[in-house]
Amino acid sequence: MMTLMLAFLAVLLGGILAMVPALMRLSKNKFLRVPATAYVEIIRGTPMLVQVLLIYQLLNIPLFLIGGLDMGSFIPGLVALVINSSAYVSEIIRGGILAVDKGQTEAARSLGMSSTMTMKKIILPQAIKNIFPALGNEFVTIIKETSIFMYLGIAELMYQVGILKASSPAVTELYIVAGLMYLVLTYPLSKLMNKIEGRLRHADER
Amino acid sequence: MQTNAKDIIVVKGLTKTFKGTIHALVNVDLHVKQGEVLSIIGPSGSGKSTLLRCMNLMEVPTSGTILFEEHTLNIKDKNINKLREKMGMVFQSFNLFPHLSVLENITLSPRLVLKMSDENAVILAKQLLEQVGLSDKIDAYPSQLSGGQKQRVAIARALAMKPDVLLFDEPTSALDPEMVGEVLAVMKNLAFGGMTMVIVTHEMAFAKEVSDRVVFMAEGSIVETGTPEEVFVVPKEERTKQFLKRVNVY
Repeated sequence: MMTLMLAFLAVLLGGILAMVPALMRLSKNKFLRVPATAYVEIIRGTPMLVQVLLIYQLLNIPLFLIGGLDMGSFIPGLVALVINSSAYVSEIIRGGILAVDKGQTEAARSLGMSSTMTMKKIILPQAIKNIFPALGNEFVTIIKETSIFMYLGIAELMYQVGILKASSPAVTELYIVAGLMYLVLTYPLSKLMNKIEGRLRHADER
Repeated sequence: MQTNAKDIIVVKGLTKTFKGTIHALVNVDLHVKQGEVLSIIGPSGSGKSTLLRCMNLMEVPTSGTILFEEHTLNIKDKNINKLREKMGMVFQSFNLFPHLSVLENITLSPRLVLKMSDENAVILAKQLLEQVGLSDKIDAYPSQLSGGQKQRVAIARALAMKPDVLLFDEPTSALDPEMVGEVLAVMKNLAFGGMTMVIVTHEMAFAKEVSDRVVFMAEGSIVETGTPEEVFVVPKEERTKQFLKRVNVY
């Protein structure tokens, strides 16, 4: 139940938040595009577990109960999931927007519509049809991911971290190092995927 | 069209290069007069669509200038949306908005951009649908229409903005042969009604019949310009003769 609620809230909030990097990455402006790309790459390129641990570490909310739920673990868990799913969903949204035929933008702009109007009235309503099926997938993934770290037991985890903290003051740094190592492995892979995606899109252009 | 009509579009020294290497257009000069029907013909890859698409900055020129009603077009200028309103465009692939009904396709831009009231926009749409012979399709969605019907709706949609010029980018090239006629008939009516039109087309007979002037392009340049008789019947340039012989019309 907790898992479902977490997953649902994560996909919902993550989906809303995801619009920001999605639109930033589609911008022509480098200063919008680069940070959004970095955000997406870092979140996608590091394991969820590391992200969750980091968020626990950083938020450090003491145990308190609302409706029988320990907010001390629920809130950081949710934050971590929202951040994680926002990166994935932003890629889904971006893909959905890019999948809308270029002719639609041209037609709208030729009728004097601004780029914002075109996005709101023409592109997004069509992109949603591309986005929804993939969003379902993301929901399933998030459910699985939550169950994994719920199963591990958040309280137990915090206890473990507590022990670690006692022996070493640099716990945050440890997590960051682990995250970076994963990033080194995943980043080239995601670059390769980008290349393939670019090839495919070129093949579609006349 | 009066011969002393003023120029509505002036293209000066237009060059367009794609990806740094392919020269789509090389130093093209062209003017379109008020009320004129100008057809651009030529083999595929000659740059005729690119030239048309540069006229409303769907393609941004690499160099050169486009003047529309004495305004220099600039893609970075906020004014560009205002100017594009006045330059309707009809596309080869129709580009109707699939999530909107025929009525909404036509009324969307007048309502959003021209701030027309809903009632007035609907009245206008009904008029235009009658003009293109599709009054019965007002509530249909684009997916329920044939290619010819889609293109006629697209023309109505462009007309709803009350443009000063209409740009046609191979409007019948994506149509089944039996649907070409209905679209050309609508265009012919517009031409006779005095609309300024620039038409990129492969329909030679149509170009000959409705145009005031015909431009023949090859390899990114204008080879020959003249009346339909001059270009089709007594072409001066060897390149034009070859092309006309190949398309096998005259």
